[in-house]
Amino acid sequence: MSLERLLTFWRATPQIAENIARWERLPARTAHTRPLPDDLPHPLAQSLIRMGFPSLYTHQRAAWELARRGRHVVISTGTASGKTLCYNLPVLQGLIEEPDARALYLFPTKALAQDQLTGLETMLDGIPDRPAAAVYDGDTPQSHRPGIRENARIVLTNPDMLHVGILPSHTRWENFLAGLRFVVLDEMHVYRGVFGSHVANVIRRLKRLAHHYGSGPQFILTSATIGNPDELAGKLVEAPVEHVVDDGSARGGQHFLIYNPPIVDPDLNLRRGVLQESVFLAGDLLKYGVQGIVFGRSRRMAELVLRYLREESGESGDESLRSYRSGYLPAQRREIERGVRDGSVRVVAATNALELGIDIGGMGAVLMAGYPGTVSGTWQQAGRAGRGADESLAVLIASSSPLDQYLAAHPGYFFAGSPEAALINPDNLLILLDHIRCAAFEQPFTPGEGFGLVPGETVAEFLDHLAGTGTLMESAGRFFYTAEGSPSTTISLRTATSQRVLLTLAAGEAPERTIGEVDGESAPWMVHPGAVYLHQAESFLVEDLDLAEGRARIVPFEADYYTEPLRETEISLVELREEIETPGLTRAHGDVLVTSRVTGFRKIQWGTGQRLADEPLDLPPSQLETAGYWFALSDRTVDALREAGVWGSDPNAYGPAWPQTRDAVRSRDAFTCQSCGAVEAGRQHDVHHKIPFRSFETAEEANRLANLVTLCPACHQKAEAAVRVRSGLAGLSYLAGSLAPLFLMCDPADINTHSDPKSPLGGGRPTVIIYERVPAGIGFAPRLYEVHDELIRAAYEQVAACPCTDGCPSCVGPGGELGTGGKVETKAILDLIR
Amino acid sequence: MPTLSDRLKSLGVQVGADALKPARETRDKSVRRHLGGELVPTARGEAYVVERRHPAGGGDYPAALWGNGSLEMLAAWAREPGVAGLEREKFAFLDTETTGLSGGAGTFAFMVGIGKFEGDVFRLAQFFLREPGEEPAQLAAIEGFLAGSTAIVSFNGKAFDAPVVNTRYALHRQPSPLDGLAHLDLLHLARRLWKLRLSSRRLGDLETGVLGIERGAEDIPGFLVPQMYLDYLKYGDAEPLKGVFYHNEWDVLSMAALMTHMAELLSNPVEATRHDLDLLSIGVLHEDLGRVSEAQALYLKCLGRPLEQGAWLEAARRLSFVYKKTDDWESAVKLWRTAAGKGELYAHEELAKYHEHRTRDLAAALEWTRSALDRIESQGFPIIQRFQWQGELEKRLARLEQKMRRMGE
Repeated sequence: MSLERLLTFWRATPQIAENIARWERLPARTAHTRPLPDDLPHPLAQSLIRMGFPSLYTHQRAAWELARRGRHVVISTGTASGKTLCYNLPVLQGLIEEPDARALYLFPTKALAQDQLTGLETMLDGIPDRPAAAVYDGDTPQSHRPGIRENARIVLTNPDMLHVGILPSHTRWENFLAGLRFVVLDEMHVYRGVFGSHVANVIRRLKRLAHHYGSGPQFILTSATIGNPDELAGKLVEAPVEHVVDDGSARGGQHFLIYNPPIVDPDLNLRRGVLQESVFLAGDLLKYGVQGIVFGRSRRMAELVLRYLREESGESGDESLRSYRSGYLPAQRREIERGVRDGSVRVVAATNALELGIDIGGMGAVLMAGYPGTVSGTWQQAGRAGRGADESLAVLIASSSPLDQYLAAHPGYFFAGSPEAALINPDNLLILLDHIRCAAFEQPFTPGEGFGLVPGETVAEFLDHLAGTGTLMESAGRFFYTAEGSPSTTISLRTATSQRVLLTLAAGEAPERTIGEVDGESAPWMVHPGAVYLHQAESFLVEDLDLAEGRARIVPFEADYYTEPLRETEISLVELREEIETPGLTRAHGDVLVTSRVTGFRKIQWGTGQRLADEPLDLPPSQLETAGYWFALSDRTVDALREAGVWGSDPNAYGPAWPQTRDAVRSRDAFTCQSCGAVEAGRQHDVHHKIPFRSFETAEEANRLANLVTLCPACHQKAEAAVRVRSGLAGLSYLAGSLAPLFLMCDPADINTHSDPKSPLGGGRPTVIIYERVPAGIGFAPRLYEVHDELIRAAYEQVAACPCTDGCPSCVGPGGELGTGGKVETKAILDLIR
Repeated sequence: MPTLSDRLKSLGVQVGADALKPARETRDKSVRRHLGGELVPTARGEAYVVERRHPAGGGDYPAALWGNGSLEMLAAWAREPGVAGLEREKFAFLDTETTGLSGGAGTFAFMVGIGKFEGDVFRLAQFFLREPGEEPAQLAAIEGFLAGSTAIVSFNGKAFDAPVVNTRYALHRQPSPLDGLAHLDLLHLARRLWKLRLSSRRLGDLETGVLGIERGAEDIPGFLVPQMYLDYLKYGDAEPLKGVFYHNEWDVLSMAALMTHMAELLSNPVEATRHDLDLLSIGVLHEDLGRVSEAQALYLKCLGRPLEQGAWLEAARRLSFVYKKTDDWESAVKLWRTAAGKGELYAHEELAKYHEHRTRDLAAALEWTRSALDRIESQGFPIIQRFQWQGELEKRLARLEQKMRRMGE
């Protein structure tokens, strides 16, 4: 057994064994099966037997029974447990029994729809009068479309195509919609956050039109393991959904390792990079002949893993080492998938493009280069390892991010904790407005008509608003769409705001072309004038940004520096939703207004990280009204911090000239405290750095007279405490923001954090704020309000366990914005509020 | 309590100025003053219809709407053989004006113009929506108006107007009155007939280039039409719509005039056109429809006309292949020699083939092949065409040389 030999080697090799933070062996599970249902149409039963399924797993049988009773069903069993059959079986049986019935299958990606069509065709082979199945998406040739609309009884597509290409021209789908009997949502867990909130509304529109044509489809959904599959399914289809969770499929035992790369610099708590370590461990897979996948978090990561692996193997074009990510052509993907299945590909470096249902069979091992971001995603990737009853291996290689380090230090969270709940908010005002517009285009609203579970009175408010802007017109008691063109073409399901800024490249004589886009909200700080913008590893200089036109002009640019925007952010309260005082702090959530302005940018040299220059910018402020969660330290906490010993003076070496400088400043200030006016009596006054000493690179800069001020000891302590509270607050905000996705099952880019020593949200007290980047929010803020205690506990554990001296990327962040790491201060705050 | 609009505004929705809500009375008054239609009762309410009558000879409109040409070729081209023998009363000429050019369920036809003959009168009705809610009545009125028709005539109607109209009926879950009617879409035929002669085959350009007539200044360019109607809904002023009615009326009238002109052109080309290029196009059309002798006569006619060289050579090429197909080798060879003299490669090749396979004069065949090769290797010969010809010619050259050697042995 090659895997066994590999594991023995790892156990016996200290350089590897000592990095393994946790070695868990997940037990094998035997199959629980039940016979095929008696009333299954004979050809369908034959087809199953031919494909090697003489019986069903218990969960497949359970799903079949519920579906046959007409219930909406969600199935959330493990990876490779045969979920596809859970919907194919009742759907095909339904279509065979009712010749006019149709089914719509929704997959999150085009590739998955193609993949599933192949599987479906195999199952349909040999069934007399087999129902026609076809993919209908953006790649379907125009000439094939009318035939598919008329003849296909199973249409496989994606939510985006349903939104733009099917619902707005539903009259062409009259027969299909009139016969719509089943709707399948595969990989439902992908429909969370903004995307999920949009998809829920697309389903409202689909149900509305199905109703118009006299049908009321039954929904069957599948999901990876998440915390709330039944709740998410219920929100997506807005009806009670039965939940099938007991997994009857067999699987072999799995060794699940959490591997924390060794520390190379103890002071800075720097660990070896996750990329290096993944390549190193993948090398062992090759050596021991264990077929494996290395999952990277980005396309770039997957490409780099492949490049290094090939370098190590010494063969630049080694076809047994491949990468797999989105952006490859379908034929190339199929070829790689085949190679993985037949074993000619030994290691594949992949992104989560491979995670979604693609059939490649089981692997011997899965290496995850960095925490995939969610517990649920981790299980899904780990599930790729395991072939039949064979033992398999999954290794989670921790990066230096706080999230990864938290898990490495608390593997129990991972193994015992429940996976994250997926949140959606279909009633987000902006998203709802978008889809009410689309729905009005598709079919005029009638008086009192609701929209999904949105009551008629609320819909009426939206209709009035749209009528007020001329988008709709009330006529003969109904609201007609009176603007030009279909609104869905301008609404993307994958973002919340439809404003986009296109990046147009002007290169020499060639006509301008668009090479990419950024959302309107990010534009001022990503593509402000003078910014160096990276696109596919090439760098460009932004020449100008026209927010009104939605265009940024860029030119190719080679320079030895990159840029970082300098931002000012203010957050004010719009409406408080909930607030509670607990010992040490007040926490709350509600609607907030975030005003941010990019005031300039900094040029930083590649490699050395040296600041080359700060350039000012004059850009208008951008405003975002959204949902926020925050906590403000109580006065008692602040007093306690002030009094605590940790606030004593700092053993900084201020340089050889310090005594003279100090005297010069005291004499300049007439030996008088510049804050309270007290004159020196007996004890010399202190000299305080307005901007902390450590923010500067040299003592000369820090000790410029303009940066120094004379203060009495009492005032000095207050001033220092303020600096320290601020730096502790910044550290806490970094840490809480990094850990929050753990509790939200969201992308780190979905939220922002901000700390303010005198926040209006906290009544002028030091406050940490986490707000949603989607206007009006989709539920993350209230969720954080709920899990506040867990978040603070996790933050404390993280900072307490971190071995660094004074802050590192794995706890309170590198450097801290005020020059001190802020680790001690952050810990002191957490100590008081946990 | 902030209103929804306020909340949306604070979330960054660009609200813009509030639309005016013109009172229905103001708008209806404006419609009455400027559009001059009448309310027609239907089972689904009153429909607003503007109707005008034109003599079949044209009247105010400067071209004849109906003539004596046979519809046989038109019918054959459209694969609607039944249409050939229809009386003119059976045709409905249809053109829609919509709220958008890209289609979809929310795009509606605020105006449907339909013309049909009643004896010597062309009756043109424009079914207009004073507001969108009148659509059921509009659709019912259209259905009534189309009751006696068996064929639709349109210009790009297969791709645009018919799907829009069908969508409207489908939306109300009613069968479309267009279902089961024959459909002549003049755009496709126009493309075939005037591809050589005109750079644009839009209806307005055909009026100028084919019918020789001009629209008045009140015409509105088609792309502005949707916005003009949406503005009317917003502000209640119907006066600017007069241009849209004019535009639609001319579209319908020109369809009739164009169809009549096409019928005459196709049944009697030599008389019906001053343009020699049209003869070539019609010849090709005949050939495509399998009417070889008609095509032959037209090509022959072309050769006697002062066509520009490219078109003349095309006519000659086509004619030569008709001769070849009908075994009239003498005539074919004559044309090929002329064409070869003007540098036509195909003619060199055909002559080489002719001598190789029919007269067995290998030396002549060799000579024609060589002259073709000389031609493609000459300076200034387009390099892409050289690649297309070279392989075939060299193969032929090698084969001929081999045959000659074998005969020499």
